[in-house]
Amino acid sequence: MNHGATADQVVPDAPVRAAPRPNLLDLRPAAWMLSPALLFMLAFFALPLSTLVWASFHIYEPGSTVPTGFSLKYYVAVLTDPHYLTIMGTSLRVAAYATLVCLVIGYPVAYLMAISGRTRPWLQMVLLVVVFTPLFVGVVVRAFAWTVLLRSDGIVNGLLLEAGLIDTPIRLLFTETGLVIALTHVFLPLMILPIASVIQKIDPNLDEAAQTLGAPPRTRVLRVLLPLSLPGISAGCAMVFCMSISAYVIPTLVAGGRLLVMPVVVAKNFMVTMDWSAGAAMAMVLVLLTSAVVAVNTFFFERRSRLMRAQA
Amino acid sequence: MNPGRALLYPFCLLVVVFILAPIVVVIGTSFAVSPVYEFPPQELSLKWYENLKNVPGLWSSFVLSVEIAALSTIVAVILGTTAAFALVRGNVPLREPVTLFLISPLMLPAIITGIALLMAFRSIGFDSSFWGVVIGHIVITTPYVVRTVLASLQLFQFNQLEAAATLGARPAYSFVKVLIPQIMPGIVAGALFAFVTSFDNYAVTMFLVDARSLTLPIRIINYTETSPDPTISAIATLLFVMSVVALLIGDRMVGLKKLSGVE
Repeated sequence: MNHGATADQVVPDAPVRAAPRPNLLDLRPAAWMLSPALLFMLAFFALPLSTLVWASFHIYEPGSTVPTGFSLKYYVAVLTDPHYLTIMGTSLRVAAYATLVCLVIGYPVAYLMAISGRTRPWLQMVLLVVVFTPLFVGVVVRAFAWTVLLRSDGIVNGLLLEAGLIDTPIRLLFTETGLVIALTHVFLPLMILPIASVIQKIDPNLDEAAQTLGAPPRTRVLRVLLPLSLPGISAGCAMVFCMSISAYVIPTLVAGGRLLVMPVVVAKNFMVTMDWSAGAAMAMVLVLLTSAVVAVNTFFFERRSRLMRAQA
Repeated sequence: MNPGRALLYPFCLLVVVFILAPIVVVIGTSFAVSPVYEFPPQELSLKWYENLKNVPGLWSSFVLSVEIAALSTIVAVILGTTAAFALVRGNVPLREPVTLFLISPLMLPAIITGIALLMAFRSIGFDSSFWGVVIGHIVITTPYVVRTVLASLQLFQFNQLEAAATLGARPAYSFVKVLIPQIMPGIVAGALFAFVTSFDNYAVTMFLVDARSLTLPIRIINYTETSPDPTISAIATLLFVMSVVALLIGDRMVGLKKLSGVE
């Protein structure tokens, strides 16, 4: 696929060109075509976001949209007040569990999806349909589905009762366990797809070489497969963690606002109590958390893989 | 065959069941007679589908959501495609940071985009609920188009445009007849993601709507809070059918592998 790109770079400068380069087709001035998108995003994304950053350092009387002064006290409150710390703790814990469970149950599926491409294309297609379809179904429908499954008279409890694992229905709705289950389900495709795409690009000769050199299966998985799929693992984990910690619809439906996580509290500050200052400070903490995760992934994996491609 | 391999298939089967179960259960409960989300349904009926017409504002919310999604998708496709073209062909300074900036709404929690727009609109006194939501949705959907079209453009051989020019085609003509058809898969993929994202969005919309113009996701979630009966299952089933249709279109025009990034 990269041959096309190199050919493209070679041909325009080739000395065999007879006619001078037609200026009308020199599309380099195409840079101006960036302006509509750039202006739109500056006006409706960058500017509003800076409003939010600015507001997080100012005092708003509850109910008011005009700041009365500069203050860091809301950041201090969000980062020290036990009430806010509990909320952040819940958010971090739930997102971490969801990421971990997604990785553990998603990796084998991604592996099977990737290796079945050559030998059994139909199996790869089935897995792809199963994993990818939910992404098109939307979060609202899937979150609603879990409110049905997790009810105390719902399917999950029914199955557990029948299997004899529990004697009386356990409460799953409005609990962290229920929330982790729903988050795992909704964001699992975002773990499987990047890992599958990375495993598929691993040269099968490497595994064969390890086998020829006498490596047992466990060594081949731990020393060849896993290290080579790290970029996919990292991308998947970053995506699932960020989506889980910033999810609003799923905790609202599955935890019903009773289990407080950061997005729910932030939204409440803006919609119900109209306490902009505290809301903005907590929103900024959420932004910093997700940005840090994305930055770590980009720094360690995406840049490195881009460098490797550039060298190759 | 080692034991790890032997366990791989049953394990993956379990995960597949986990992925599919919620959707299957919702579809099942939508056809039940019982009002308490019975699965498997003992008796079948269409009464929850008939009840759809008794949900006030459901149809108008659906129409509104389609309008908003269509409008924001069209704008996102135009903004995203031109931007991607400029990034690949134009002499753009700071190409990488600019690309990152255009894609960044994807990485930011949607709720933050919603709050930021709410504050900005309030501070300038802008209070059109409809256009506010459309603007919010364009912000979160344009990155999808930028990303998918960028990927398509990277495979496009630009010397074809010069060939077209040698053959006498004017730039605009070769742009429409040579370039656009070849990057169509990227545009369609971006448009599909954009439409689905906008249609399903709650976290940005909720900050920007007023009570008169409720989009479908908001209507649905409000309904679950007031009258939790399987009417929602019926809506969910219909939305599921819509998603499958969208996916079939995507598969036909782009291919499922390309769409999902697994190639």
